Amino acid sequence: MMRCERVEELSSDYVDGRLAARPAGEVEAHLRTCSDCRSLVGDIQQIKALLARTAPPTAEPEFWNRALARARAAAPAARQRLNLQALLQWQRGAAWATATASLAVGVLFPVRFQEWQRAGAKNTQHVIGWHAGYCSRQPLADQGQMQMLAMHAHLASEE
Amino acid sequence: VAAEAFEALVRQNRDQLYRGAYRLTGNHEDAQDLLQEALVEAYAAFGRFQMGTHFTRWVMRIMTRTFIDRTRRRPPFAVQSLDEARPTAEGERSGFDVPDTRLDPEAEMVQEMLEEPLQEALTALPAEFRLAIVLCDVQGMSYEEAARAARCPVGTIRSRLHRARAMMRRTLGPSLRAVYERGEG
Repeated sequence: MMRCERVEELSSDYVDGRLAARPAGEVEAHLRTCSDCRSLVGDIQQIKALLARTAPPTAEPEFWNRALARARAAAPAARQRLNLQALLQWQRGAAWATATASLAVGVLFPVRFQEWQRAGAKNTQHVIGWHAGYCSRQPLADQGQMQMLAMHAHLASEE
Repeated sequence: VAAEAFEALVRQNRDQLYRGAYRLTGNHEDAQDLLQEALVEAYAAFGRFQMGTHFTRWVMRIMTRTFIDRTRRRPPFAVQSLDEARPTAEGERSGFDVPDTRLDPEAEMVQEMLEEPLQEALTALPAEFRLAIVLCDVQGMSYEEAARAARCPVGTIRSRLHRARAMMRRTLGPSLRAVYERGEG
């Protein structure tokens, strides 16, 4: 059986018909036995219905003529303001994008770059080792390969 | 043509638009200021309105932004009694034009009796709670539409609506029961 506190929490969703069948059924079962919760739900339903139906006093016709005339007269300035707002919004978006990109480049990239450097050094050693092994098995056909070997030797000595 | 279409739509939906502005502000002067500002913005942006969609909800979205900006800039709107006459442009004092609610006399009487306590209870709410109530209960927007208009999550609208109704019930409950009990008696 649902407790009063839970019914109170769900009362708005129940009145708006936003509860799934099972919790709605549990609320209804509770309402059949609890007059306090029935009064709560009844009041919310009445307030909601009053707000939807009750029309407050309306404005006199002159207000509408005046308001529409002002809207027409103020439209160019308002359009400029809307365009400016759109531009500012775009600039703000662009500034955020730039800031995010700068953060990525300034903070994340150096960190990643160090990782890449470390990984790259291992790969270079591996490739040099493989290439040196390969070249040593091949006849030294040209000057280029000799230079490569010399460079490998130099790089290997630096490592 | 756009100007004529805009004017026609405003005139066609004027009661609903005014109701939204009045419920948000609680008095005619601020309601008219708010509505005027929203209509200027709406007219300027009318090129973006999709014909055939809900015009009042589109203007209410604009009015919502205006209302939020205003409540951030200015102190809360003042409450005005319905019994109080308001000055006209000519300096005379006149009563309010009460629209034809087209209800049976008994329901009309109940609504007339509750109109003032209803507006007072609404005006006593914090602005963001009042906005949730006006968008959902007065204008009939779904939680999702109201959330889009108020630019907040749907859960925020749901929670504000729930708390606002609880607060309204505390304020309005006695008047509500008194009127209905009198009706039954």
